[in-house]
Amino acid sequence: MNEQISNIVKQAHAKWDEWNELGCAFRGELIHRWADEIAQQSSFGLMPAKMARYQVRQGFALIGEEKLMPGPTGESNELYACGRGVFIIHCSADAPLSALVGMISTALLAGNCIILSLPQELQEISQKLHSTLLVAGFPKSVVQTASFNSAEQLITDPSTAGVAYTGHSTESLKINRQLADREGLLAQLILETELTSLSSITDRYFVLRFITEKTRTINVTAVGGNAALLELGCGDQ
Amino acid sequence: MTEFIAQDSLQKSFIDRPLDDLWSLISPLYMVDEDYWLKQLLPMASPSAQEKISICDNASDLINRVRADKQAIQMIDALLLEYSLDTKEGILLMCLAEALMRIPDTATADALIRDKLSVADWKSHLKNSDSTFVNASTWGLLLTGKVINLDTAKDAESSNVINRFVNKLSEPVIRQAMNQAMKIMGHQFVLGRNIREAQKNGSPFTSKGYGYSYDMLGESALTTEDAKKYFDAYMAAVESVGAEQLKSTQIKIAASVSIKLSALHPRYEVANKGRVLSEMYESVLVLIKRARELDVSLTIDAEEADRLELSLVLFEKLYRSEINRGWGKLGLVVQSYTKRALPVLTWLAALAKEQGDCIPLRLVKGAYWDSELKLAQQNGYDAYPVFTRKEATDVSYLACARFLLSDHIRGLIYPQFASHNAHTVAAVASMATHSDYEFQRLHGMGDALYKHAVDIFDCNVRIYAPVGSHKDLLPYLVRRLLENGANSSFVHRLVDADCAVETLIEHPVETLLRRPTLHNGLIPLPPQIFADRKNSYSVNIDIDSEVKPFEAAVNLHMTTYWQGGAIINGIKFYPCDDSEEKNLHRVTAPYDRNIDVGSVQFSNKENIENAAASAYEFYPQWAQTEVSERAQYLNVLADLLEKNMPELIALCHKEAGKTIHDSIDEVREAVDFCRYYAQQAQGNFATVTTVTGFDEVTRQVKRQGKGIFVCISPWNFPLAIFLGQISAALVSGNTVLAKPAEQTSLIAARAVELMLEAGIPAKAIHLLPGTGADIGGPLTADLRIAGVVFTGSTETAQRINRSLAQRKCEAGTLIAETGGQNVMIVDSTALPEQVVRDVLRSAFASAGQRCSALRVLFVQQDIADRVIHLIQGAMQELRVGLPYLHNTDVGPVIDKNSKDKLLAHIDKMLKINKLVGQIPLDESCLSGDFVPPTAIEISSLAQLENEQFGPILHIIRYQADQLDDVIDQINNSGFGLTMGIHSRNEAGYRSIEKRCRVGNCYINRDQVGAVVGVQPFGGQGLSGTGPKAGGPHYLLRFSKQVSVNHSPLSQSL
Repeated sequence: MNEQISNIVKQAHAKWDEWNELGCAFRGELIHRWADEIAQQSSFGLMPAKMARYQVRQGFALIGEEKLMPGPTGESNELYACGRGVFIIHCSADAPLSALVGMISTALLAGNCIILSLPQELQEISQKLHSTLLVAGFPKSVVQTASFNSAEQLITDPSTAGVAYTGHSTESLKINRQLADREGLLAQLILETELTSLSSITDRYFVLRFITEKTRTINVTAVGGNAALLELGCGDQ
Repeated sequence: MTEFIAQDSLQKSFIDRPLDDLWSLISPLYMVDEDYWLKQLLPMASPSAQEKISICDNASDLINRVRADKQAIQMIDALLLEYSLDTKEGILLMCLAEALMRIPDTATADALIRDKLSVADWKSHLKNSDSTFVNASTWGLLLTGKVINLDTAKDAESSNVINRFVNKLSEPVIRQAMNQAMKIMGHQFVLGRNIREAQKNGSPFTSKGYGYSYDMLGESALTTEDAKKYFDAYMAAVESVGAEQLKSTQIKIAASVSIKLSALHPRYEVANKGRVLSEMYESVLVLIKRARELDVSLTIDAEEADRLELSLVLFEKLYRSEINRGWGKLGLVVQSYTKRALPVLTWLAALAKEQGDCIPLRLVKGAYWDSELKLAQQNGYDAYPVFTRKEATDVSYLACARFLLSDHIRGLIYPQFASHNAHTVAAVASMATHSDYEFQRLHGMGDALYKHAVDIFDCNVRIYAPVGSHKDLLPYLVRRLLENGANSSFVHRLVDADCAVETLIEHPVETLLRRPTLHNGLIPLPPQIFADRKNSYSVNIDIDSEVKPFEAAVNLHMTTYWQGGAIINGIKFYPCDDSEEKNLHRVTAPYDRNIDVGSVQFSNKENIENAAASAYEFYPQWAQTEVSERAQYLNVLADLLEKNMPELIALCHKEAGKTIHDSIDEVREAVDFCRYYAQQAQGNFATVTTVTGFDEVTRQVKRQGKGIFVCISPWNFPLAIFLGQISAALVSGNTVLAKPAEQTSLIAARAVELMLEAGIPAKAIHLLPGTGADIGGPLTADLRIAGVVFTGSTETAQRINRSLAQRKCEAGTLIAETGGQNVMIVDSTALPEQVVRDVLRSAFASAGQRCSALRVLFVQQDIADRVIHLIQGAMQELRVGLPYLHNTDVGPVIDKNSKDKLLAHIDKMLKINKLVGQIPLDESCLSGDFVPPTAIEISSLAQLENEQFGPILHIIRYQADQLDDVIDQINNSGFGLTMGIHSRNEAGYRSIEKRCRVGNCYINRDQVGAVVGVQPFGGQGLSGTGPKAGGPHYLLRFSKQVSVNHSPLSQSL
């Protein structure tokens, strides 16, 4: 077990609660800033920045606000989204940059910490992605990098929430088995294997793969009062 | 059955009908159509021309006199006027009053004060009220000196004086001031801390000619010990009132004592009718005997609508007893907001006529309105037991008054009209043609109103006075007041000079007739509380007219012998002569293994292959089927489930060992799943949507299924989760192979039969009963499977995941709902009685066999002794037994394997931990798989390794300053399904909820019984993958987005 890698994971976990509590709107702001940064990278082209903004737009519409559920009087029920924890961002050497940016921005928007573990061939891109993320204002422990060699250790670490992988089926099969062999929680494998159509990443509901949902139920009559009914009065209806 | 025609009750002969006939008219009106019933009551409530003039004159006179009276606004009136319950400050003040005095530890008390004081604008109230009481009891007089100094100080940035005050002064001073304020409030609400003090404090009014009714109010008794305590208090009151009466000659109206039945027995409920009519009957009889000896009238208070019929049965038995016969001073209370009020009065009048003893009867408007509405909505009853407009209740009140004041009732019932409304007082006085009646008012309320009413009408007035320690009583009274906030409105308007007298004296008949509908259109009926689908239907088994036909229908199926087996392409592979022996399974009842319920033939390899091949082959066609058609099948299925509810309930009793309530809830949840997913699919999948992609190209997309889904469901919700999984998969456009838990295959087979009856194509749904190894193993390894939805243990979920991952194909979708280690955190602001009720339900309902059930109670050290003592006492009142009996609280566990594991855990725990309580099992449990509900005190969460899926509650004490550690323990367990919090500190419970990594958090209630579409259900971490079942995102996981007109992505990705 590589201690350095363990430390990366530990740091991410230590920061996660705080990051998760910052809220979707705040994180969306940071991603927008990041989009501005990567738009200035001439080697990146325009698409990656567009992808980041797109994911914020789509994601925010779905998880930006707590959802008040309907139900009986005297009780409030709210559904809201949280990040799942620490995600590993992994890809094949020929993965489109837009897809990678889509994975990163969606994972972050949802409230997860990420660890980039990209192939050797993409080290330069990895560094650029990482440095622009930091410039945009993401906390260090929220966005970290690890070498490609460490991917296996990261994937098999039972404390990570899952892997977001862009690439080919053969590799995805392998990752899936590695994840399934872990003890502990069922890890999420979020895949994009259709590298031309990006059908997963462009799914309108993609962000839901990166979240966990919480329901908060409060009995508002516990102390007696039932404001909802009081407010209704006897109305003219 | 004859129909009750309201106006007939005014005919003299009406009450000469046989008592049984009159009784039979009561229950059917339980939730009669409100408009229909009000149309009947309106003529009775309408004033004659002459009455109209006299009511108008008298009511205006009364209001004008009160307004001219400088001392009119006193005590509670004044408090309510300043801190109206429709202001934030009013509610917060009451919330503080409700909780502060019971908090034993200062840290928690200070935190609560901070919580309540920091969010409202108290300054705006400081000088508004002329009442010294208001200023004193709130933050005025006690704090004025300092507050005003602060206010005039230079740094007047913050307008919130109290905030600054709170921040600047040391907390002990604030706490003391607050406690002092609460004490003053206590004095205003409570006549005396004990009966003697109450009598002494009441003497000024007694000498003015007022009578008293003393009430030792408080929480309902949860334990025999508490019931005994209340009994003693009532007895002491009777003794003391009796003694006073003997020595005094000046008392104009003899004092009476009011008793609350729920305080006299821990199980005052229809389910325990036998105990109510024996144990409770005996103890009330003792009170009556002594009261009669001392000639102290007794009044039995009214409580929730579900208990009305039971209370009348008990009343009749008491009334007819030798001890009461010939006395004429045993009375009761009737609430006019209940639709059954008038028929109840006619029955009581006939009872009095038959026996010849007068019945004193207090007519009130009713105090549980909010909770009656909430309950009816939660339970999905057809309608409400109460009226939905205040003026409708007033109409009912006046109709009842008309009946009570009619000549043929005189001498049979002595009416006691409780009201604080000037119009009601004037109307009753106008209707009365004799003076054999009295008015009643609450201690501290309506003083001025009645002072002047006595002058005008020369009427008798009795004051209803709560008696008891402030610490116990104030919270109770404040809760009542909050629940009934609407009642305070008249107090406001009465003394508010801006409110024209004319508006106050409008007759409720006129007000009601002015409304577009007689019922309140803003309050939907329980079946319609969801805008886009019908709420599932339920039966109120506490109501005679509801339960009788229900029981008869269920009983028809209690002797059925069911059969089940694989259902493939609509063909049933049920047990037959040439069934293979090894696949044939006998099904016996969990509560009695001697009872044969049916038999099941488990699936063989050929079944599995045929089912998979058919589902695979049919998938493209099913995916192409219109969403509206798929949704419609589910809606039809929901209706079929409701139609077949009696049989399904019988099956739930017999195959799964479920109690009546659990069985009803089971069917309801299945119905809700079908309707909710049908509606969700229509919303999400029905149309082709135009979307703009990240590349700014617009495309047309829609959602479609993924292929075959394997649905592996558990035995603990054999119908609800079984159908929840399947209906979600089907409606999203997948074909389904369903593998039910082997323990509950019969229910599954019956459910699939109903699915086919609903028209779902036989190739879309195949049932494969059998063991996990035989069925789940091959299916999860099959390349044709697109996904698995599973509810069960974490270990099995991992096995399924590995099996899916081993396949040489695209990763399958796994939606898993797994175990939990559910906790509840209770701090010292919580009300112990509420906590214990919710703990018992959360831990022991369904024999603890719910994923959401409470396993570990964390209770703050400062109140732990009290809470644990109450749990011990309340557990002794629970009944373990045959699940189909109404008085059974806890049924059997699912099988012997489960029983042995649970018993072994109890043994292991008890070697090193302390037993808090255990319910002994009686002989009815001998032949079944029962586990005695058990509570054990342990030292830390680390003592528990796995979830124990049964009626076992662990209790851990924690110190207030260890809360962070408790939260860490919970998060470190890795599980995160449900959690409960009991606290009055809003900032506190919100922070706990935020920090705990759990899927469903329930605050100030029990933590079981998530409702589809209301409380989406599911956990995180070791507890499941999500998305939440019964939530808006569930179906999305069963489906994928596809392009309708494929336009490739722009270049340069």
